[in-house]
Amino acid sequence: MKKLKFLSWAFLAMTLSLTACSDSDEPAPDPTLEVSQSSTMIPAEGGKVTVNVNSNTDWSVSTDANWLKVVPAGGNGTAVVELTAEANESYDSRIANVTVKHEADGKFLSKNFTVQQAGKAKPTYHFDLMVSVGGTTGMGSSGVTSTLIRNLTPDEVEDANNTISFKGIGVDIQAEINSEAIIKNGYYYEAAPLSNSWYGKYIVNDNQKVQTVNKFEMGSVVFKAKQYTHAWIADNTLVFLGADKAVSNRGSNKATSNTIMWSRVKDNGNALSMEAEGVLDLTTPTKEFKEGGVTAFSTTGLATYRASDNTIIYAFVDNDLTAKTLVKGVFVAFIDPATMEVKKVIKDDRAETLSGTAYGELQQDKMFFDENGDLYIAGENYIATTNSTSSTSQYGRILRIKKDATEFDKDYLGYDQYQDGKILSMDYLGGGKIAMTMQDPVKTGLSASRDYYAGWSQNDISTYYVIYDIASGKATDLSEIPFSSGSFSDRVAVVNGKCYIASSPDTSKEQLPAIYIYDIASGKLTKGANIEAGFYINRLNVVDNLK
Amino acid sequence: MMCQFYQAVVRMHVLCLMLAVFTVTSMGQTATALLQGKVTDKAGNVLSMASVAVKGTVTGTYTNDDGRFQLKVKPGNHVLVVQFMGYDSQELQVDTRKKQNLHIVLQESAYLLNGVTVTAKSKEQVLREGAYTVSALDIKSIASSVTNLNDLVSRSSGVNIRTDGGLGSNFDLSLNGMSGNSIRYFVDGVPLTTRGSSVTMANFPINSIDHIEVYKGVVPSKLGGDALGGAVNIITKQERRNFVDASLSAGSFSTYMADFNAQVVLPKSAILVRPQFSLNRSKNNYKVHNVEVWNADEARYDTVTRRRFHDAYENLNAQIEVGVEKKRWADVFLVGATYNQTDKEIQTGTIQSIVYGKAERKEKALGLQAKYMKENFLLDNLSLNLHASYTWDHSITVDTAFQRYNWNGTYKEQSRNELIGRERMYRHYKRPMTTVRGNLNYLLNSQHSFNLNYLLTRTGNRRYDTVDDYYPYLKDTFDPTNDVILRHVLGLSYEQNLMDGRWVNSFFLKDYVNNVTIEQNDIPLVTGANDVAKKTTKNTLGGGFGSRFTLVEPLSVKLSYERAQRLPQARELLGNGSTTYPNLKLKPEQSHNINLGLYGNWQMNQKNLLYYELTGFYRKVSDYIHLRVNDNDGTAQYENVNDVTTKGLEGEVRYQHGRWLQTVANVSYQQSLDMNQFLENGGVSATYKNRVPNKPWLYSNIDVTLTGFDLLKQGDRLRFNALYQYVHWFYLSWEGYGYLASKARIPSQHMVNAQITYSWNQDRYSLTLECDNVLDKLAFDNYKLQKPGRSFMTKFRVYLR
Repeated sequence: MKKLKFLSWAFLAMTLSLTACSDSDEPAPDPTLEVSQSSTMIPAEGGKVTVNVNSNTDWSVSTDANWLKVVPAGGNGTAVVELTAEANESYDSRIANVTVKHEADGKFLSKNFTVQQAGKAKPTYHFDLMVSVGGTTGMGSSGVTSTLIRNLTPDEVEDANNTISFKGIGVDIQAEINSEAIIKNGYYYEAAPLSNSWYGKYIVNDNQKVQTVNKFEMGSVVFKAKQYTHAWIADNTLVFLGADKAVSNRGSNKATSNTIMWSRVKDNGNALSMEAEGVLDLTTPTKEFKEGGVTAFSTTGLATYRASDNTIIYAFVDNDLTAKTLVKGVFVAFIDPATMEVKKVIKDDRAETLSGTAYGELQQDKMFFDENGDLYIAGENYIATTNSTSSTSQYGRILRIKKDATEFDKDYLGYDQYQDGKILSMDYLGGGKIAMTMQDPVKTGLSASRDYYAGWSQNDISTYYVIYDIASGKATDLSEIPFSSGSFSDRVAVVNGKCYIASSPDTSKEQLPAIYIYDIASGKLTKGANIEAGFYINRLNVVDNLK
Repeated sequence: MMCQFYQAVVRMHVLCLMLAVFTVTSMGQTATALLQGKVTDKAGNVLSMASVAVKGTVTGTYTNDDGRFQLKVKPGNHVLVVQFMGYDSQELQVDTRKKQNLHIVLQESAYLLNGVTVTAKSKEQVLREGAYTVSALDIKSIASSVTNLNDLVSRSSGVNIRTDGGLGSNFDLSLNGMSGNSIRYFVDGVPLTTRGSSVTMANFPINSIDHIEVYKGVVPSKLGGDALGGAVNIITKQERRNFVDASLSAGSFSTYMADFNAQVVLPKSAILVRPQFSLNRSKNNYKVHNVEVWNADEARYDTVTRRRFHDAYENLNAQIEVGVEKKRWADVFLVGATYNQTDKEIQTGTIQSIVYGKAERKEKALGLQAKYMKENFLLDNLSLNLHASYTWDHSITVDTAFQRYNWNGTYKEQSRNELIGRERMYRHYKRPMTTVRGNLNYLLNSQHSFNLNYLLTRTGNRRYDTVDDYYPYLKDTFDPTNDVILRHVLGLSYEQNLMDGRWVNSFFLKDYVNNVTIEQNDIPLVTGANDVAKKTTKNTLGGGFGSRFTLVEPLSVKLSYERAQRLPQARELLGNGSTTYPNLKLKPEQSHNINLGLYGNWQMNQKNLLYYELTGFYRKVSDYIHLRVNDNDGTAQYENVNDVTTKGLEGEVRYQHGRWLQTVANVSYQQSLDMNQFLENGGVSATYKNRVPNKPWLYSNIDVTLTGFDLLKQGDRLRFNALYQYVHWFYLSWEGYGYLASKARIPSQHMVNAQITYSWNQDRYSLTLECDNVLDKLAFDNYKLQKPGRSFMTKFRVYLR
């Protein structure tokens, strides 16, 4: 407002002086040259602004910036100059100096003004790419493999000409936290990092260091590193759940028999605190699956929070220690987050087990809610010929619990058209589409048979990616992405209408590790940045920028 | 038996000596006179291994076990120089035409090597000058001053010992960059494990040791182990006379050590009785700094200093040997029994912030053994050395507490045990071990000799758990297993001495036969355990050579090479029947080990002696056996995956001035490169040719000893020793990747140890005061695991002969 006022006064003054001039010297008027503004702005996304040139003679316009188009390049008398700029692809604003000048008969007049274009909005997030380096050279006692994290801007990830390097850059987290830490709101959280006795909150920043924000001693519930699952009840409330490992098939000592422990941790910004803890009472409602012996729970299970009816949904499997085998089927408990009271337990054996019974959703995504609030849970069936519940040779099945329901959706079984492809991770893209990380050593040509252990290990090149359509039940391969290693890793990140997929292929076959970008709306896949070869890629995560 | 073995060793050394150091008169030489005689002390006790040399020549020999020697010399006048450690050397005029049979009596002295024109070489020096690269450490002469063997061994060039903490804590010895299973330990040529699995260099009774041989990379075939990177051979003391040797030590952190050795020859029956007993105990309650304890009131961690509270260590070791010597049917025949018992509390995990308060390890081992030795067995110049033993070894890991400790010494209940975070365990490992060693040595003539060594070891590994005795509801949660590994190692070596001992060669072949049996109780798993043989036998061949050539005194060149092998163990081959899958395709770990060195012994004048040694080494390890764990389900399998190449250089200078100053300085540098071009999944590896992290690569020792004689009274001795040890800092993880400034590292160490020993009455009594870590520096070998601060120790020893 003030600026406008000033400008209008200036304009008035100029007009006055012009008239004064013409008054004094009528027959041969001196050349005059004025511009309407001394500065103007173009928005970051690009656009056009105009500036009036008031003159009684000829003039030319020039600029020192190559991003600004000036039309026309010159004129005579009073005219409008159009200044056009494309979108500014940089986060920094830029300024163009524009000069309007007249030069003739030894007379020289010039006026300058500036055009400023704001930089594009800084993203509110970045990517953390986590790799492990060093493989497994067992010559020393320990500490040979370490995990590195690179903080990357969306541009760095998307730039197909970029190669993401770790030489002298990136945070070595080995002495601070595990790669399985929980990422939320720009922070890393972990219970029992490196087997220490605390809940910790950390920042991994500047490609340089791990910074401890705060840590709080675990209470009477003591988790083992990496052996828990978690659910965020609110942005500042995190619930950890995990089986205590005192499994037993003799029930004489109830106090130490198998239980699921939980704790609720509050994050008050700079201070963590453990608010409440306890064990889940799964004994009362578990009669239906208790037949045949005492139940021992899988190490973690999977937990999530359903806001619509304020319920923690906890999926788990049951170890029958008498038979030394897993009970086939997926169990789900509905838990009141305030009291941690188990309201109900259900079972569905259309999937023989959960996808991943250990490590919860640390470094993998196994559950999600769609737009309707329906919950999808990744399950697996054992490949028939091995038929062993300790076998890792499995293929996927997806179970559903509808919004607010406390039963499995008996009408729905996902991925049931397929007898191959183990679901390692599910990332929901919206619109009924899931980006799934799959494993099958036969599919990737690593093994002739699905039955054997060979080919199913963490670092085998046995994983691939599909887009699964929930409605049609069809899985479409993202076949442009090379097969990747990493059966326990989280290499898919969804943000801003795009799905980013990191692939860690067989680099001996002249394929480079790279990030691929799947545009969710168009279904178009483009290749983004390459990643320096030689690492195992653990995670690609979207991390909020800290304010 | 021990004696016999010792004699064999001595024989070989004498042989080497004769060939390496002195001119050996060839068989057919004419116009020689035979000088022979006997060397004894004043009391008439024979002195073996005394050197007898002809002054002004390179002719000389050593006395045998009976103190006798023979020398072929030109007829005429000679000056003989007779020397023996701990005795004044003696020069005497001999005219071969008048007298050819001599009785030489040496006077005891209280010091060691005295510089004379013809210097007799100590056993240590003889070893150093052999064809192999070996550090030899004389223990016997300084036993009064030694309280910790590891400290002493770690002063050698190329040796680095990383410990977790105080007395009895875990340690890892690395030799030229190779450590752990790559290094094998022996006692008089027999695997050290025959004494019990918890007997290590750290608790071996010091007073019973004569010297220690540290073979780097190339291990002679007389040591029949599958050592990939080297071997440590402890040679025990063999006295010819009755003695009592007792010492008592006490020091900081409630550390006490007692050591008793004796030898009695019963007068009538001539039966030899040799008892030995040692006890080591410590609370190890030294202070640890900058540890965090939870302050519940303020809801924060406070950084404090605390004492260790669960690190006590107790080790008892006893041995008795009974037998006869110098019989017609045996030079030595001894039977004996050993007993070892160790109790050890465990204080921390892999980093200092993980604290334990209840877990412990115990071990008991009882062994029976017999030794037999005969010279001129069946043939002249053929000697036989036999050892047979059986050891009951029982170790227990106790981890039954569901408690989580902190540095305040308090705990919280948790639902899993301390060490592995699982069910309570009271895990027994019974590893009965049968060992048979036979060694035949044949001296064809003064230039050629042959040695055949056979070592059989049969080790059981029975695991079971008795936690259900205490917690009945845990019954049957652990499936017992039993593996048996039977191993034959056959070694053949041929040694030659050419050019009057200027050129010494040794060639050897080793054949390893590995026979493994495993018991699998579990349900056949995905691999189909039914298809897997429960027994497997593999044959592997290795070999090498050593060569030493003296260009000119004092400059000799040494080259040695071994194609070394380490055989896979039962677990590695056959898994554990549940979570670890078998891998019958597992190959032995292999290594090309090369040493190239220069050394020389420069006697500058009467008083000044300089010894130098410069060695370059190269180790190319392939098929390193590694456990590959599947993160998904915790299953695992051993694989041959890793290749590492280590190159390095080490140098040592020893300077001796008269008998009062001895200094040793050495520097070791090594570079271990990861030579895995590919990752496990076939992809290229980023760390190919990168320096392997978490390994010290530059370290140095400076050791100064000052000795004063006859200070307060005749025959006393004051010895002062100071040691400075430096280990350069190194990164915990790969230094090529990630932001270096914030990378975890193990900081440089500067350790100064000092000790002073006063001994009197011809070493009969001695008193040592020692101060370790004089500067009270915070030191770590492993990431964040603090070693003790400044500590004191005193040792009193009585040695009656």
